[in-house]
Amino acid sequence: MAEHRISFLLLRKNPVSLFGLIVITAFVLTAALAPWVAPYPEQGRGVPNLEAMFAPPSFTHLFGADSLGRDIMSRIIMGSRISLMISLVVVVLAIGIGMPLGALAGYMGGMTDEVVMRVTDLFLAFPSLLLAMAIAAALGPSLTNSMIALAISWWPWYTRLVRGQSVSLRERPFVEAARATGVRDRNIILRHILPNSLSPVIVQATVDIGTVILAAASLSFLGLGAQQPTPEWGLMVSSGRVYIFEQWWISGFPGLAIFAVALAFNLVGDGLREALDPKVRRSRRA
Amino acid sequence: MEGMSLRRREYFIRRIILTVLVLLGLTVLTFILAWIVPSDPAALYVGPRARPEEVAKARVLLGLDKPLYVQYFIYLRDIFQGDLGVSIRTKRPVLDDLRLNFPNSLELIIASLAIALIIGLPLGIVSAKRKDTIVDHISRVVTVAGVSIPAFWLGLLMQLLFMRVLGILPLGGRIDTIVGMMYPVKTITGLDLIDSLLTGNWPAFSSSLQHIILPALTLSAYSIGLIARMTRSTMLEVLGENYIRTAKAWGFSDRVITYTYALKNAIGPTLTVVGLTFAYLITGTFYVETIFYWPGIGSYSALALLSLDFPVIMGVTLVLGTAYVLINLFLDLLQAYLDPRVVLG
Amino acid sequence: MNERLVSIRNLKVHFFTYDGVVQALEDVSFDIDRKQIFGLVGETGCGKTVTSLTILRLLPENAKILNGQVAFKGEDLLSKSEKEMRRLRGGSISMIFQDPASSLNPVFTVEKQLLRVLKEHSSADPTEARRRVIQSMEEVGLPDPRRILRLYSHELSGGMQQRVMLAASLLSDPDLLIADEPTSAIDVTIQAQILKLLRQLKDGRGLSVLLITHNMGVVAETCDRVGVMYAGNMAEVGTMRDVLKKPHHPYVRALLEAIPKPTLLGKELPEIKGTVPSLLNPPPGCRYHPRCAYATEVCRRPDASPQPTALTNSHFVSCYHPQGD
Repeated sequence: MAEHRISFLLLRKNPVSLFGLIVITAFVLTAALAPWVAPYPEQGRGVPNLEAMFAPPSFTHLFGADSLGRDIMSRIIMGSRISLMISLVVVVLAIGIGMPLGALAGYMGGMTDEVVMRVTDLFLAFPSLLLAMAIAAALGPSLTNSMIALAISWWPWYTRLVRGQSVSLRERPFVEAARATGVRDRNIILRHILPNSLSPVIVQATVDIGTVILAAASLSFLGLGAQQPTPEWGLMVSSGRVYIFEQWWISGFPGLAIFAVALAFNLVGDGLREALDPKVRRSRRA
Repeated sequence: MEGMSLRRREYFIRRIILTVLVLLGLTVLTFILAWIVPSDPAALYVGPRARPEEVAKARVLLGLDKPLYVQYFIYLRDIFQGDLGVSIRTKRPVLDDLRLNFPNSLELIIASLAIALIIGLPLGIVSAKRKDTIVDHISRVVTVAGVSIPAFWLGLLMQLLFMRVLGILPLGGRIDTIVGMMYPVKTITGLDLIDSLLTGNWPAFSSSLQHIILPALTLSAYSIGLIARMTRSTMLEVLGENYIRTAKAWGFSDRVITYTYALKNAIGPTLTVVGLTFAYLITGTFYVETIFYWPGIGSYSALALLSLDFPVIMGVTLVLGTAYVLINLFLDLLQAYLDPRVVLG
Repeated sequence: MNERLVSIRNLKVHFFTYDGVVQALEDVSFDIDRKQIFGLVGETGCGKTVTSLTILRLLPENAKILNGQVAFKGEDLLSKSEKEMRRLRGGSISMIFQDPASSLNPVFTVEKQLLRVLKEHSSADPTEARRRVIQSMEEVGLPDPRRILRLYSHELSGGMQQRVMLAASLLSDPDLLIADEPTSAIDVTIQAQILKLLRQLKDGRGLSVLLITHNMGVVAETCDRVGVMYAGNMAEVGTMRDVLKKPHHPYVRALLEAIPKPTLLGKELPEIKGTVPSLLNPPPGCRYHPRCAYATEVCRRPDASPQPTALTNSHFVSCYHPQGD
């Protein structure tokens, strides 16, 4: 745990990651307080406002209005809730399935390991987004189904990650000691393997939240995720596409939001990775 | 120790067998997917205004009354015979549609990969050599931006900037329609850009180039990020190794150390990441081709997803998945050939 | 021809790190003559490797040479350009390292690496180059050089890897070979062979060797002259006889006394009290004074570390209270 304190301090010394942290905080706060932050929460939810149709950015509509006159800024703010929810659900699900599987496979070895890893490799041999697209299409386009589809294509990464950790942890003295004193396998995995594999999982999860937001928006852009009138960012970019030349703000701002959030998570993830990597820390020479 | 080449051959064979198994697994996956689809394929086949008897007849015709594992084998047999079903939208066999669209996507992907390598590799190398300088920081921001930016949004921005604001590049399509009619390109490779170059068809070449540049740049953004990042971290690791210290003690010049010596050590992980970029290049075409009206497999598949054209969706999933697996196999074998350590690990 | 090959005076090197300034070398002086094996001895971290890297100017970015002279064949190496230094490295001065396994590039064959060394330092044509490579390999005792050329480093044993490194360093007919713990990572039996090889090279080619080690036994067997370092200081320099039979520096004396001998049977093993100081914050003056039984005020004076005093014209000790005769 002291590790995490150190990494937090080092993170702060890295200005680029700091910027990412600020953006993430803003994002989470916005999502949490959305209905109270948004200037026109009803329009955010989808209620049309035809008198402001295609309104360009102005003081009343900071990011302009879309084809139904709805305030883009409000829709982006309300949409942040959706994005945050999707990414958290998918990542938690993926970890929830992938991590125990990986720990089990790595620790037990043998047949369990073989079977789990073969299945994992099969999923990973495939481009993840392609798999998610196919599953979302097969299940029927909807927000829920896109989350399921994404979770299914995401869990193998965690399995592979945790399995690697598990295999190296298995050899460590404290695990052998536990085994020697007769602790049951299940408890060893629960109390020793899983907690010690947490570090890389957290780094990966941080980056993944941003990546999932990007992927979910991509699915919605193709019509496979959230449906109208949900203010999902990818969907907004897609519906604004036809108007890109004259009313550029309809696609422009939602896309910017996706970019900003994904960028922020990637920057923080990168910073975390560097802070936790022992090789990177400057060392003394004698 | 002459065992090297034997080990290498063993590795090759093992890899190939694994690949075959994976491909089979892929067919199982797509089969399961097709099975999940809530709509009734028989009903889809005969159309919305069919009578119940026609639907029942279609059932038998499509073999839907047989047990599941038999259906799977029929499915497998069909695939080997090249029958991937018929598109609900275009009414043509899926395989034919894919074959038609394939060269266009190939051209786009190759162009994007070329751009990604030309920009990404040097970016990563320079970033590693000048670690922690301003050059490094800038390139790292650019790299991260590349993997964070939504391709569809970037494409739209490109269109906005170059077509609307600057007015210099065309809107979409592969070639200017008029130019395409007046100076038709003779098909040698199927790749317009190369064919027009080979036949000295300058108007067509110029038009093709103008049309491909924006979509290729857009598609390459993610790959540039991946390649630059991986190259940087691999180079940093390699440059810290003892054999680089030895090379310096032997008086090797900086250029030799970086480009001849260290690069070969770094090529392995870089090839792996190139394989990974194909995943993004392939799925990226869905977006880039749609936005730039590029008539390839990507836009074809995107339309299929939009209209829930399941035979196409399943067929594309299988074909693109297979392509990805085979590409990675090729790159793995290439890597084993270049780096003797792979075979031992 | 000048007898003196290398002359190092008052070398002062600091490292600027995240945790502070590491004062790695302070006032280090010694000489190496032609056809001589000079042993640089000391505990881990005492600055032996830093000294050798300074000679070749291969120190990392965060190191600064604050003071001193390094003369090689009469020329000051510290004022040479990087380009000139590169010509020397692997040319007139070569270096071999402790871990030969990781010191050779795993993705290139032995042949490619050795030929590349030759290419950087001479313009021999391919046939001539190959001949010289094989000749060098035979000189270091590698059996069947033609077969070894085609192999990768991980296909060779530790002893053979070190011989390959030696072969590479001999290709340009160097005057000085710096060997940094060349036998620490190898079997004891092979160790003896490598050391014998070094002696042969000295006698046969007139090669001088700067042999860095922490093992007194190695020194006794192989070296003509020896320099003992402690925490960045050069404590005592002299012929092997001088230093091992008649040590004057308290540290060297204590060190030699601590080596187990049959006469100590039944008695407690003498040990040197205290620990090696951190180089981030070394003791002022003589760095050994906190552990020295003979330390006085003058030894503690900051910026007044003891300079080498001549006991004979070849034996020097840096101490205010040298012991013995």
